[in-house]
Amino acid sequence: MKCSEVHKDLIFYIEGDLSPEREKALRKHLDSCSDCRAYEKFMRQSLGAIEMKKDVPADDEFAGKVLEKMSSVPIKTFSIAPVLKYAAAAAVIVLGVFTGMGIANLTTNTSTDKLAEAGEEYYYHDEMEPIESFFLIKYDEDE
Amino acid sequence: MLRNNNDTEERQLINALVAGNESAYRIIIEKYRESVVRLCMGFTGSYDDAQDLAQEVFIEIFNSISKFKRRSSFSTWMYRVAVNKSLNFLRKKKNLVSMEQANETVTPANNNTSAEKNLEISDHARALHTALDRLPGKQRAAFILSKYDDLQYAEIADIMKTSISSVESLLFRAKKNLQQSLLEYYKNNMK
Ligand SMILES: [Zn+2]
Repeated sequence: MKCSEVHKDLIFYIEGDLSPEREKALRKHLDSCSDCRAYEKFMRQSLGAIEMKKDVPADDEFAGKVLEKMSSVPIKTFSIAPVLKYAAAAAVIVLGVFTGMGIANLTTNTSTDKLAEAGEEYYYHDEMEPIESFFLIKYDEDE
Repeated sequence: MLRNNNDTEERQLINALVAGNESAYRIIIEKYRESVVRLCMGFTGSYDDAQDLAQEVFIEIFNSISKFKRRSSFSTWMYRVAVNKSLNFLRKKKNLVSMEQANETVTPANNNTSAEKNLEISDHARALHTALDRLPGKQRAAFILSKYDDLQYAEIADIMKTSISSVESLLFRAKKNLQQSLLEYYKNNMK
């Protein structure tokens, strides 16, 4: 076995994913190659950092912080916001009629977008998405 | 962790969450804080960031609880929200970093603080996090759910709305990519 083959399979060796034959061949190479042993040590320690990070210290203040942050965010706005948006858009259109503005160049879409921007501080667009579809969209973007 | 004889208890707890009951919030946090923080550790690499992100995750869970249709177990849905939030966090961070790089206004003071910070993190933890940072989102999510939260493949498949064989394939590719990044890191920094 060559060093380059160890480089390709080492993580699977450490994880115990290799066939018994492959594992044996790799161990044999490691026994005789100090370069690959040094690399193996580095790889084991790097993956070992995961175990160290798993220890989550106790935190008595955590729940309090979450509840405090929640009370500072107007939760109800999330469900009211879309209603307000359309009501406001309708108001603009009605206003347009009264002031004699042509509705043709003031489509519902552009007016709602503008109003949504204006009211942005009251709600978060990404959090208004249903979680399920949000999740799928985000994944589609990734790979 | 999935459907067991605590079903009724869980149903009552969810009902209390929907009603906005504060002690229900506290029970959920008590029960799942460690799992969520661990997951966030995998995504952020730093305990402080993980704490902040985990708080955001719980806020999102409580605010969106009415969207939980009980088609999966609560913990599956919770992990889904947590993965979502974490990927979003990474996206925002990436945007911020690229904005900073575009501005290229790194002052000597900034350099000092980052050097100090780097000294606090061990080489191995940094190598691992650098490698994780380079994984595509799906691979990273599967790897973190498996390695940081020790979830079974079936559970990961439920969370990610995919098949067990897709999870296996994601984990295989994640390990291969991590190995590649770690090897580069090793050659550049450790030899
Ligand atoms: Zn070798």
